[in-house]
Amino acid sequence: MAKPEPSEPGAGVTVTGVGVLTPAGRGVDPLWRTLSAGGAPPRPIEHFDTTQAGTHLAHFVPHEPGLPGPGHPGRMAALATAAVADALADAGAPGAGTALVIATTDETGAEVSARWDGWRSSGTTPAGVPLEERVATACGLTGQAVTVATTSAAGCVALGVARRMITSGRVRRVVVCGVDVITEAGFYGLAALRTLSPHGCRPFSADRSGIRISEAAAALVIETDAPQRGRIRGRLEGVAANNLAAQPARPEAEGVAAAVRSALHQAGRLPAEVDYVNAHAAGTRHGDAAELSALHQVFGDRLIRDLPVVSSKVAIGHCQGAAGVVEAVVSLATLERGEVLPTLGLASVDPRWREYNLGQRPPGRPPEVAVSVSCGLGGVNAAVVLGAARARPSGSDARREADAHAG
Amino acid sequence: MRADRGTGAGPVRVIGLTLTREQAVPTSADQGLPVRDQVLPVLRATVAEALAGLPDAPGETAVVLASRHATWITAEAILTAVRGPGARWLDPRAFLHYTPHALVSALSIDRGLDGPSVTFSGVSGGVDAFGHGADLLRQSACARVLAVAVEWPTALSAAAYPDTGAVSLLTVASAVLDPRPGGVQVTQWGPSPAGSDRPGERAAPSAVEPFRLVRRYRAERALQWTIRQGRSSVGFERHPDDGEDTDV
Repeated sequence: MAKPEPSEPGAGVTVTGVGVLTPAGRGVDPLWRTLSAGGAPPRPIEHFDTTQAGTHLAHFVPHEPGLPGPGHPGRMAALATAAVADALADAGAPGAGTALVIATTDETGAEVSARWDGWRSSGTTPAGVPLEERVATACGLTGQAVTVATTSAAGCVALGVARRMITSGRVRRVVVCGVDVITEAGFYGLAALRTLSPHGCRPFSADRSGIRISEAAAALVIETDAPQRGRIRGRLEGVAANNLAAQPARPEAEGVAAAVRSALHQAGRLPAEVDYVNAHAAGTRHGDAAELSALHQVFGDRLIRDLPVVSSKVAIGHCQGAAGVVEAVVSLATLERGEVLPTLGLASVDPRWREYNLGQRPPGRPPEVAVSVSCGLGGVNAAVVLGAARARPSGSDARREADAHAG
Repeated sequence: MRADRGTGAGPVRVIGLTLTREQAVPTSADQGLPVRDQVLPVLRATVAEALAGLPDAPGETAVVLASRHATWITAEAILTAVRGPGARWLDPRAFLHYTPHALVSALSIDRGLDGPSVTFSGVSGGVDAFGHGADLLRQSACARVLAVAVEWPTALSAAAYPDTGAVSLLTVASAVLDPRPGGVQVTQWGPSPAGSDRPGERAAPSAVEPFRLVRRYRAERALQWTIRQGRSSVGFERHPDDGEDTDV
């Protein structure tokens, strides 16, 4: 297993801007309200026939003027452009000199699905413009434009790629945008793999049976420490990923635990310093169990005592490649507001986890350090450590206490 | 022998660069498994050749893969089944080969490579594989990077995005990056400059093309060069100790 890398703990990378479009609407406030108040309702999929799939519902970003509809070939770029533009405006940052890292799982599905009918009937198709180029051009970004396609962990992994661009000293500012839409090819691929549940995502539940997919776009502007303008929204203290798995369709607890430990080490944080975990927890039978086992390995009985472990996926579905960035936004909002929203739909928690704090018990102190976990098909495990703008420095009380016990 | 770790701004060399090309008309497309059946065997063989003779370091190796269209065939196969005989005829395992990361997954599980692997799918992916791989090593995230590029255009992908290769031409490139001086060194990864004071060229938008260019520039005994692709560029230079028989 890869050793955690030595680095300046939490070496200065700040989040200065946030933009998000989810089934809750546009912006962090609607997302927060939706997470508080029962979740966004799913809608029937209408842009392709779902009768062979066993389920017909998904979560969609609400329509707004100028946004192409579901199935339109321009929808993914339009969602990403809106999120990036909002994040840059929130940061007060220019596009000039800013790099772009896109995270997505289904750009191929979007392209193929949109082109299919025309191609089959005429044998021709319009020339394409790559997604990252469309977004960078629309937002006036002049730096690199890179696309990460590491399945459902793409958002977390993209944050890691961007963080390394900054800590290398070459780049001052990167906007990371996770985006995905619902495509016919991807939907039926998931259905064939028996991953979709007609009941939606039911994380931690005894009767969990799979996922309901969603579309979203979320963007974070990250910069070197101490930007010269405005406030910071939080700190991107550490990101780690691995591909530790025995087979591609199920996460391994060992791999998830290794990613969380490695991210904490990069951040210079001890497990005792973490106040909030936003889990991947998509509601699959094996995945939820593997992840909670991993979190127990890292955090021990704190999962029962005081550490809230929350899933956002009941409220807004599984946002695919955008999930890692969406859930980083939720984590940052948790740190900013000092409030933990519980996992929705906990009426029938799996008996193994009934004592765990799944967000229904408030933490003993306002959260200042969060961990967000993402897992992806193919065995990828990723974790992000985020610190509140006001966070106590890494290694403060918890470290001194640990050192004292070590004698 | 343990692989050494990088130290900050240290050297990153490219070794074992291997390129494979073959015509591969998709079979088993009706089941959605041509990536498993035709791409993975060639990928495994190419990677085995790149790693041949190197010390074993599975727990400290990251796979950084670039591909734009290697798994496009799976999406086409899914739609062909759904719109044709019906979704029930689609192999459930098709989605396991739906995105290019499936190729990383296969290599990682085969060889126990559990480092911080990444899949790049954008226009600049081939250049980004070298550049990000070098970042991982210089920041001591792993001890070795397996940089891989795969392209397998379909008729549809080639019509939408020309210059990514001939239809059904399966091309796989693999190279090992490690934090030592010698051979061909990766220098700078960054934005693609409008002009450059170094010899170099803009690579065609195929993930494999930068790998082919590295091999060509080295064979031509170039001292320094820059490869640009999309909005990224990566620089290379030949180490003074690079001899005629030093491996790339």
